[in-house]
Amino acid sequence: MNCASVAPNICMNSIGDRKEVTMEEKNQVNEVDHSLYDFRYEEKESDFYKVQEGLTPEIVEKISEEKNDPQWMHDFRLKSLEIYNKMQVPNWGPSIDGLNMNDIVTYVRPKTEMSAKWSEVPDDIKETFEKLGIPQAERESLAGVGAQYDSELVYHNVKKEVADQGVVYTDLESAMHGPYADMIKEHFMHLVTPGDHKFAALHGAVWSGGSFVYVPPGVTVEIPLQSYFRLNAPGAGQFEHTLIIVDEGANLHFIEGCSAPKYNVANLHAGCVELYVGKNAKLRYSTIENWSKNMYNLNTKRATVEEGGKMEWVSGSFGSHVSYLYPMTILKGDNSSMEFTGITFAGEGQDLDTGMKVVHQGKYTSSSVNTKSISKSGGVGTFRSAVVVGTEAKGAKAVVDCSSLMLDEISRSDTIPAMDVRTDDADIGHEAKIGRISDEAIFYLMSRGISEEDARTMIVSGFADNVSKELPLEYAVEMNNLIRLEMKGNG
Amino acid sequence: MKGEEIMNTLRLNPLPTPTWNWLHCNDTNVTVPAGLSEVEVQEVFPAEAETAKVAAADIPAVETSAGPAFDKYLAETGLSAEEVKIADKVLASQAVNKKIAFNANAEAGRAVYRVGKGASLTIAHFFTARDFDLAGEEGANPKARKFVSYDTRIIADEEAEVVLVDVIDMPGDVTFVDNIGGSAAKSANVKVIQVLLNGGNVLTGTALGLDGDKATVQIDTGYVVKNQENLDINYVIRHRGKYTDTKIAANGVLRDQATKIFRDTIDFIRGCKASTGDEREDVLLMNPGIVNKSVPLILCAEEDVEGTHGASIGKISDEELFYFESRGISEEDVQELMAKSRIDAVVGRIPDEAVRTELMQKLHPEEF
Repeated sequence: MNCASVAPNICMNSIGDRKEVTMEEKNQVNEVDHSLYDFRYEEKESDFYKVQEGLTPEIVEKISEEKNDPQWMHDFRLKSLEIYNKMQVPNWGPSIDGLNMNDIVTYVRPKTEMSAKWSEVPDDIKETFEKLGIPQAERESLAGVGAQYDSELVYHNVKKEVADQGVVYTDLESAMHGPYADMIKEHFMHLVTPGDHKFAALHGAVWSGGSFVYVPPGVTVEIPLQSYFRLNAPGAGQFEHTLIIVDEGANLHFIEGCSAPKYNVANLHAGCVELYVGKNAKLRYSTIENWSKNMYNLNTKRATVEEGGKMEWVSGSFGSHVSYLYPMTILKGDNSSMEFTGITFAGEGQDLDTGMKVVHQGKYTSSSVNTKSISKSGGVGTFRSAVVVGTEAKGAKAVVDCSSLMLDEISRSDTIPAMDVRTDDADIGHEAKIGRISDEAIFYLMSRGISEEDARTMIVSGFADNVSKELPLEYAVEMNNLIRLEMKGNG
Repeated sequence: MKGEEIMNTLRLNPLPTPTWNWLHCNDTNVTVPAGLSEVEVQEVFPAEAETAKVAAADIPAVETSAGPAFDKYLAETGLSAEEVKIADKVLASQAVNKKIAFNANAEAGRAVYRVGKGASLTIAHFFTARDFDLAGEEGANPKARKFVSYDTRIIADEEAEVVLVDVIDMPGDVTFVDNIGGSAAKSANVKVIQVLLNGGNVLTGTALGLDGDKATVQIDTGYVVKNQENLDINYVIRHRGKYTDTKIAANGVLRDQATKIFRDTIDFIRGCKASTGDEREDVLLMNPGIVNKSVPLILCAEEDVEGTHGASIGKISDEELFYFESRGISEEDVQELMAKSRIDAVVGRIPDEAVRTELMQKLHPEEF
């Protein structure tokens, strides 16, 4: 299937009427046009500024110049490029042979400035996001929205009452020149360093766009903030950087959505998300990713959690041709905790290698992981995880539960968990299971008048329930729609 | 000299599908000597067994736990194997009982067991080594000092029943590669019972192809790893036949500064319809200095299968400890008791009474 992402389109259909959803309306939601996200605005060269394909110091210099980088960032980019050139591609995981960096355009800037007024966004881009439901979602259910088109943010806005609480939600580039410049310098790529892996180094060299969020001590942001990333240009890369700092005792829910139309050339997403969760703070980071199926999604996400803090990940991976995605949490402070809820649906032509990593450093830390993986129509789904308990992590507790569902005999599903425990005072549990939909369950539903296709879809939706119940309603509806579309064989 | 060391370092016990390199669990580097000499084995065979020497080139090429690099190395050494054959429909009246006591560096042995259609055989391997000294051996690679190895291959024909009991009691400064591989034809059953009592650096495991329909395997492992010992296990079961079944259960104790890595893989290959597999690991951690790594893989290219894995890693619960202490048993004694009970439970599941009793006598001489 070609479609996409997050819920905002559903917001248009159902949010306002949520209390009075009729059967007819439900059907309309179910029958959402799956080509919705595969529209593309046919670009003219004059609409965009872009750098040359490939990766050279000159291109990196050009991006730095375009971004008006401070000197430290300029130097950081060039150093990252050096690291990139020295590092090898991973010798594990799905093949990325189809990705040739010499063909990828690392920076594509629409010829428009970022705006806080929707009316000032150029019509074609506005139309793109209108179709995705972004401004509608903002009006109805979000505290703030950032919309990135190719390499640049085109719209950024935060509700006044949230801004009045001292919450900063802005694009990273302008924040680097503002009052938070030192804070950004102190945190930028300190969690995910360019030496982490080849694509982290690439990100360090060519990153552009993305958001900076700062939630001051004790502030609870009642409704979520959202960033939406749209990669429209063919053969391009998107390298947005998201930096979120939730200070002591603060609380935030951040939602990330991504989509792209499908082209016949490889596109690359190598974003980076760095999350700093302060003492007794809480951050929930939700993603429903539905990149088009020509996308190499080599994204890196990492959080560090201070004493008593809590990190919650909700992650749905539906799109892309190849994914390497393993959000990592470092439970640094005593009594810090992490919950990870994830689902991956690998359909035709997809090789989705997803999972998580957690490092227990502090005492009495805990982590809980619940993931589901579905493979269909020749898709390959791999769950990969690492639970590391350090020597000082006395009283650490970790529970990992991963389930995989095979929907036909031409697909593949692998489970590759690893545990490394270096203290005796730990309690680590791991459960994994792999199987198919039981004939009995199908028979039961069919004997009650439900068609086999609907029965299978119902069972898969139920299987994905762990994720959908963690999402805001409209996002859960959208996720179930994505499952329905995949199940109908549009994948 | 340095170049020679690199040449002789092999990556053993490989994970069939690698993961992140930073976890250092994809394989284990072992430096091996340039050549191997044959270990002297004290052995008893059942009267029904036919034995013969088999040249290195004629040893069955099956996947083994130590992996292809080690197989290639073994082939290059030219070490021959002793083959034991049980004819079709013959139920061996007693176990093959081998006392394999390594007496010098670079000693090794190879064994092939062919168990015919409907036949049965129990094999017991007791591994030990005397505290040999290599001083004065010119040109010996210091890293390869005290390296010994044994290679076991099991070919179970249709409806064959094979039990392999593997008891490892090696000194602290020896690297022992216990390489096991095999195949199971239609309706064959292979049981592997591994008891690991002592061993400075032990690499073991089992790779088995469940090639025929309804072939089954049960692996039951008990271990105590202590002091600075290192235990490295690699189980790889390939399900090829339909209605095949795997059950792996490992129970162990880690003490002092011991390290352990447990890799186990169930691979459902496309076509192995209606197959099932279950891996269980239970590890008791007794001291702060231990390192415990577990990498349980389920690889699946077949829809109609059920695979499960469960791991429980932790210390004795406060409730258990309180229960024992309230009955006058000290924490140290509780730890000892828990370690012994895990080994005893595995030994108790050895089907052959003579082998079971022999091992119980070794473990608890005071009771006999």
